[in-house]
Amino acid sequence: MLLRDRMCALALIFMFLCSAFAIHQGNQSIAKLSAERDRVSALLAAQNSDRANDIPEAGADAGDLAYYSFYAATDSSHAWSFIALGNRSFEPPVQRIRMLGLQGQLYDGQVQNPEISAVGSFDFAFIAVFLLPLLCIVLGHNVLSSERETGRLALLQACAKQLNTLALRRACVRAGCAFLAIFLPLLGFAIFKQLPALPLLYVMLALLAYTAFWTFAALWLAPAHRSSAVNAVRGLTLWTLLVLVLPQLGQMLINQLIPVPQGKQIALAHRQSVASAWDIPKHDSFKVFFGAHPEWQNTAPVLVRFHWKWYFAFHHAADMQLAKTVEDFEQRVRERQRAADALAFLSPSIALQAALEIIADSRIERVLAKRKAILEFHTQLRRYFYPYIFEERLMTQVDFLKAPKFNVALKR
Amino acid sequence: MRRSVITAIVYTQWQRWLRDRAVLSLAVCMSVLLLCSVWLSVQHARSQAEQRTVMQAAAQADWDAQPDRHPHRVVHFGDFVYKPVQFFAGFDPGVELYAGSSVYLEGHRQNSANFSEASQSSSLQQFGALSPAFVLQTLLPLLLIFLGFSSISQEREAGLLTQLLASGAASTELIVGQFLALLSAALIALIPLVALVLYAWVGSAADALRGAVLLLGYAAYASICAAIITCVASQVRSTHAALMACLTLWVFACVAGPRLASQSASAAFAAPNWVEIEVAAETKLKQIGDSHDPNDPYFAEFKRRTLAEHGVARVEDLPFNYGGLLMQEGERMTAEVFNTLNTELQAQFAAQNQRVRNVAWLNPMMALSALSMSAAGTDYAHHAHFLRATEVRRFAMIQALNKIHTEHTTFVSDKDQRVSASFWQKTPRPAYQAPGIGIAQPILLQSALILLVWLALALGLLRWAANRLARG
Amino acid sequence: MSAIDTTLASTLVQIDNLHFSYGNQAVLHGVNLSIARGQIYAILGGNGAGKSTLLKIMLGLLNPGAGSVHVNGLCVQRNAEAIRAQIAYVPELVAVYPLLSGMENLRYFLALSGQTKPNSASLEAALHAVGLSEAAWHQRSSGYSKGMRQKLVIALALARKTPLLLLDEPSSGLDPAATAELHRLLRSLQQRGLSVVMVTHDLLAVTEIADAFCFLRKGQVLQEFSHISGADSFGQLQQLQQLYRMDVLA
Repeated sequence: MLLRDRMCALALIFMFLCSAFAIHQGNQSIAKLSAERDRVSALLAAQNSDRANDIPEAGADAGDLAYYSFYAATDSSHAWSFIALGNRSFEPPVQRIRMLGLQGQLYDGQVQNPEISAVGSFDFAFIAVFLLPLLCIVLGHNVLSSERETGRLALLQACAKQLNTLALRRACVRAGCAFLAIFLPLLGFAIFKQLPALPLLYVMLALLAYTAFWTFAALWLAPAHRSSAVNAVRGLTLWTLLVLVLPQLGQMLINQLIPVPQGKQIALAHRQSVASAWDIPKHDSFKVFFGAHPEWQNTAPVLVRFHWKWYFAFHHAADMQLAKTVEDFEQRVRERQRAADALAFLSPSIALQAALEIIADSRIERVLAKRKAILEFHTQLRRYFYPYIFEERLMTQVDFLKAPKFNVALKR
Repeated sequence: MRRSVITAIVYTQWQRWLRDRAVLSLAVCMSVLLLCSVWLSVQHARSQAEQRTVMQAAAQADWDAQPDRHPHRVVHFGDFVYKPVQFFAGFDPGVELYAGSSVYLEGHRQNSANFSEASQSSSLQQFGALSPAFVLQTLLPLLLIFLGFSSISQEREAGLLTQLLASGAASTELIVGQFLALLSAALIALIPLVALVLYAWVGSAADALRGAVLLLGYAAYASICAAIITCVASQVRSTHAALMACLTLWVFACVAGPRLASQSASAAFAAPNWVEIEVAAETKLKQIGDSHDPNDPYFAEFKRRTLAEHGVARVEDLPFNYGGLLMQEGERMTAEVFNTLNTELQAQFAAQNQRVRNVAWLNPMMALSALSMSAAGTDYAHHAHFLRATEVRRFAMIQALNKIHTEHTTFVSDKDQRVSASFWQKTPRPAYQAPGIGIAQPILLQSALILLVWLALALGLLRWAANRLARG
Repeated sequence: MSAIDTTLASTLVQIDNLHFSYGNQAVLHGVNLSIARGQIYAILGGNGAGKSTLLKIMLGLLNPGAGSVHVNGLCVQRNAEAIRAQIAYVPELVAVYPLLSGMENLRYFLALSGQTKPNSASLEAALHAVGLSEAAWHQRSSGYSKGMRQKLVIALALARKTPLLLLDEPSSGLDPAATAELHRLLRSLQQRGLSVVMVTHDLLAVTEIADAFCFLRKGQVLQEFSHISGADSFGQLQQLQQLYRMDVLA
């Protein structure tokens, strides 16, 4: 009955193809990001092993080594990240970190083509959030009105005991078809790639709920006594409001009401702090630094114009002075996300986008966790090099190669 | 075609729209949305501008507050440049949310532009921003579909069409009348843009030119939409089929098409990672010459030449600080290498964008989107200009500082010397001048051409529809 | 052709050897008809006989495959728009814009025919003449019955001052009282000098008001009748019923 309707059949096939293509695209994008990550990590590792090879038998100045050695700090992704690319499309998949002040390097490398990012990504989440409701509306808006238009409604009313039951049953069949059209490619892909099953279950539940919402919304807005065209317009108006307007309006309001000037302040303040260290007594920088690292307080004082001890100390002091601003910054960013999540109660499309991005781990939380992991790595790196620098020992090739590596597995 | 007949058709269509409660509520929704988006967008652009002005002033204060120091310390102190906000960024933010808004200028390297709004946004950013440009590009066609899908198709369904034709109305008059009615509705939605353009006109001639291009572009787009909708509505058998056909076109053109085109364009032209660029630059520089390495052949030759030029045997005997000269030469080389790599990166992005714009031959919405961003001054071409201009400023500033280093310090105990802070004020740091609309000329020309071709096609289609309607 | 010239004064519609087909399906083949000025002329026939197609060709809305139709001496194929200016058409499912009042509909349709500024007095006269109650003039026509819509469209014919009125199945969906009122209206139109051509199933109506009529079957004129007088109307009615029966059996 449903498949006899050519329009419906075409829409279902179209949705199936879109879903399959979006999965493919998302997968390609994630593969491209991982390739970029591996490429850059290998590049930096090769540089470091070259540097290690240049270290003489007796060892080299640890300060020099620390200053010139970069380590790859990679963004994480997992098997299900392809369903929603989220902020991966403009977060650098890999950055390089060295022992200098962290806040001066943490935000570097946001080099993406902004015209491409601005359009939004063509991923599974897009198909689900934007196109699935349209399919539900196309399938559901004329469940009853088409019967009236073809003159069968009276006949149906005479035959069926409960017209509503009939409409409901028919709507359920159509919703099921819509759900299968989008879900089958995903299921096939998950089986083919042997992806973990639990996220698949979550995605399935989220999609089912979303399909149900839109099918019943379409049905509720499409009474038999109105024309199919008018019913479609009503459904589409709701779609426009919930999928296009509300999230965008929310985004504008959130950006306006929760401004985040701290980002730019961090960069400026870090520069000021690092540069002024050259003009203030070294003692002042050391005082701040020893507050966090009293263990080096009793090492030999710096009396010359330049010493790595002092250099790395004031770089870390700059980070320490910025700690409050950074915390404010991350707090603000979290607040924005919380406000956005609150909006999900108003629009199921925001909720589904959020759900899929959480499953895909493509949200700001991942970026913040990555920054935290980088901070921890940076601390480890400092703690590893400090003994050589403060005790003024030479670093051997073996010692240099044993320096900590950035751990991809992020702690939450 | 009789003008009086067409006037009557347009007038009566408006009369019917104004009596249709569904149409009225849609129109009210749309107007509220449009006004909301204008207000919010302008507010956002203004607060961004304010934020950046404050930061630029803070950077300036930091610069001025520098004590007497060694010129090379100033090279490392560096400078911040914040991208000014274009007047029409409130209308079409374009890449504003996604492009870094500030660049740190320092010696020895070129930095990326960081701290885009998107990098500190919630998951809502995948939905985009409700800018007036979005409303006019995406929602206006949808509203026009809702207003126009039933024109003629409804008359056909009700049997009115035969009566209309029998009353002596020519099919061309019916089609043109419906088209003009729809177009007039679309043009009303452009009123906020007209207001913005008038406001810009009072301010500056350059912005007025941008506004005029925007207006023409959107008017052409509105005409294309109105013509296509009228055409579909007049040819399809039922109102329902007309609505479905228009919506399918809309989903392809305005919702799925742009994303698909962007995604495939970015896959077609792979851009390097920023770290790769930095590493490549450093490796390249090391190959050419390492100023820190006393045995480096390039710099040994440079030293020999410099000494020979001044007829002295030792660098200490030169009439200036050789260390500063080395810095100048090093900076020149660094800039050259980075410029090459950055040009390659920007070319890759430009190629991606060009691919998207070529796809726009199939989709006038994408042509308008490109035209709108370019005319508003918020496209990648303008952003790339900002990046290039900051590099010019960086290079001039660093070399000026290196010159102070060369001329006002001595080679012996170089690093222990300081130079008066009054020098910093003389360092050239021209404020960034945003370019005129000409910077995006090729994009504008291509987009305008696409829109014109589509307009001609759409009007031709109207003619064809009228002929077909006449044949019954 | 010369016959047309000589009879121009008395013949309003002249149809010669008219052929028409929708794709492969021939609808009219070789229709010849001559309708005199000032008559009420009825075209009878079963479903699918080609009656409505014939009307649409007379209006110039369909192009015939072969043959010609002349209205008032003008060839329809060549002067479709000029012909339409002389014909008013009332379709079976007579429709008007429901969101507009009767008066607004009238003004709109008049504007489409080129009369942009009709004086109110003539519109009111036309509406009075067709008997549309004054209360309904300024009400939205969404509440109109078929009879009222029909009157409105006939009023349009009066306001346009067309010499010829075409009606497609005018009495279908009307109750007997409304049908009788319609017939009275058609008579009065005839007295005002209008010619009326109607397509109908209603045999009784034909014998009651038509001056002449023809019977169409499978795209051909089976028989023409004229000058129905009160005396032999009963006999003609029987003959017609016979024809209808044959049509059904065929």
